[in-house]
Amino acid sequence: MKILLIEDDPDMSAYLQDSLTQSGFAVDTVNDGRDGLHLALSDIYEAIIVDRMLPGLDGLSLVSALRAANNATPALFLTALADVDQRVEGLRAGADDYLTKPFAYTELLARIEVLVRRQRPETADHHYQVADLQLDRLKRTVRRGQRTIDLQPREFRLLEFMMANAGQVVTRTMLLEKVWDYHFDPQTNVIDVHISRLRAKIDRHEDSPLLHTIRGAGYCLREPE
Amino acid sequence: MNLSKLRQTRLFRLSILYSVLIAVGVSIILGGFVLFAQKQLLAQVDAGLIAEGNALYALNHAEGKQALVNTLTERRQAVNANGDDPGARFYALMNQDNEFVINDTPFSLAGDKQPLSEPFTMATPVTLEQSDGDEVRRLRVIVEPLQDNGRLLVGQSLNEIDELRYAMLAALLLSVAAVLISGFIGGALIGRKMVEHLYSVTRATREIMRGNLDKRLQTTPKNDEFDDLSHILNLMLDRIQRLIEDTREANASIAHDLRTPLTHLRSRIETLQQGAQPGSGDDESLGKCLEDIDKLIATFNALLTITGLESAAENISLTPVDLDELAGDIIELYEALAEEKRITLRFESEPGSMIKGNRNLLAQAISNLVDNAIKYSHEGGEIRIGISSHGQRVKLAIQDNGPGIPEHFHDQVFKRFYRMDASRSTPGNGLGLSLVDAVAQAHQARITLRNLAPGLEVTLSFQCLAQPARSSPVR
Repeated sequence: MKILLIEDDPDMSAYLQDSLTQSGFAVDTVNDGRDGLHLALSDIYEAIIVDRMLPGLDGLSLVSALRAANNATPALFLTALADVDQRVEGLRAGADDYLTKPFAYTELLARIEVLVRRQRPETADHHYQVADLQLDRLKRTVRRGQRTIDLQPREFRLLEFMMANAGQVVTRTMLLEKVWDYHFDPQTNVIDVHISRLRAKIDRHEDSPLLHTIRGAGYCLREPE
Repeated sequence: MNLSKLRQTRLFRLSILYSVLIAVGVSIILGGFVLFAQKQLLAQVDAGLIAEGNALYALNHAEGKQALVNTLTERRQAVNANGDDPGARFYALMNQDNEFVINDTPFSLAGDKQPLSEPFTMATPVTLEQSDGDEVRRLRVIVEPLQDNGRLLVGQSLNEIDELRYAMLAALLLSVAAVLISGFIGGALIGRKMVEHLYSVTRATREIMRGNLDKRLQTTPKNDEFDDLSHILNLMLDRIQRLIEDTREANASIAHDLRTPLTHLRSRIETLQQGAQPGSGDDESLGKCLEDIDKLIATFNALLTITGLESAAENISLTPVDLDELAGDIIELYEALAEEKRITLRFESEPGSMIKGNRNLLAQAISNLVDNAIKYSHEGGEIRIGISSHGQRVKLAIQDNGPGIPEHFHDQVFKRFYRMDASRSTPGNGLGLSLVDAVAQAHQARITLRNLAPGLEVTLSFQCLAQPARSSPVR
């Protein structure tokens, strides 16, 4: 799995290269926007991490140029430009995700993995299964083994997202963005309460829990080992 | 600019008042002049009549009646030769039997008002009025008694004087009208110029207040008092702009200078933590370090959002937002948290809650308010969130049954880092309400606090965008 990292801060660049390599990615690193665009267009990457303020060519123009050239490689902005509108600007330019510095590496990793995974063809469009947990998107039903589970609409969407990204770590911010479609900082961890309700519905009285809390990162829905 | 706006300007009203006063003054002066001139002209006519009467009396006395008759006949011929002289005198002579020897008078002396039938005290001219159809003519006459009991009348038409008086009165009216019209036009012109100037100042100030700090008031090369004022205000704006730009720059540098090391620090601790033995003391302390850094970052982000909103609110993109839907989403997000404290969230809304806003900023603000309400409500309490439209405004009110905020703290709680408890023992960074306030300002919404007994009501009042017709959902 190859990732292109376009970042002009040498410390940051070195750190990300190390961490991403440890997480199992092959990382190409450039520190200039023009070189970055050239590489992105000439090689095949599973994801591109790009800073917004770059020498040569700024990240916004880079992503726009990439999309104009019909290149659909998932791109994530990793930037200090943190205004709500700057975020909208970045997504509108064609980026798939937007993460502001300072960031938690786990957050970055979770987002990158979701982006990379999205590239792979999904096996069953309307049916997700993790161990004995099944979710039917068309009938909007959830079963754990023989037991039918009743979910509120929002709980259903939460589980749907977790199952679509089964085996991946999803963070609280990602859930707020993808399930609730909002981007802001709640003062309290409201997402945790929703997760524990969902967990109560799917994992209660079960020998093997599926919904796991990943310390310092978020949650993961995965098959028991 | 329309006239009604112009009428409201003080300057316009003053100039109208001024021209009315000038018109009154002009009327007094010209009126006085007309009266004086009339009096003088009449005195002149009288003096002429008396002199003529005396001369003719003397002639009659010295040379006899025939000489008088001859002279009067000559005069008449001279008058006839001169043609139509409105100032010409006319004469009449009567014998002792009241029969006319000569009668040049332009009117019949027969009738009720017979000037010659009465024994006049002479040397006192009188005015006679003569109706000739519609026209009223005025004549000035004197009557001299002669030695042989005959009487001599000398008269003169006052037409000339009357016409002159009419002409002067017309001139007076014209000049009063001219003063009033020029006063009105002048007032309108000056008022318009002044109003335009003031409005340009108002417009510029509004724009500056919205965050466009480059805007300046216009000055002209005329260097008048308005230019002085604009100049001074511009200097003040320069200074304010410099201060704000300094602050912005400081913010930007803080943002950059802090973001980078914080990012590095966070990533280094994460690397360390990955190397640490899970469950060991190191692992735990490093985890605490990350928590602290994340708190720091959250505070830092909130602060940057507030300053960003305050210094460049005009850069926030606003789109139509359904406040009812948005509040509903936030309430749904917080319902689970509230239930853990056995707090009920009651949401009541009215249709017509479209406003112009930034969805994520509004979500942040409403979430902060709901979060606070839950934080300060007693267990088992109820929080009411209501959306109601009042004419052109949409109000979002959040009522809790917590301890409320004492009246004298109401202005303070929006200040950054302000905490009611000096010990800062309650959770939070003291930026929650400041952020709500900044979001409200950026949306030109009014925010009000009201103490209920018990509890607190926070109201955000937005400018309404439209009134979509739909039924009222109650959740």
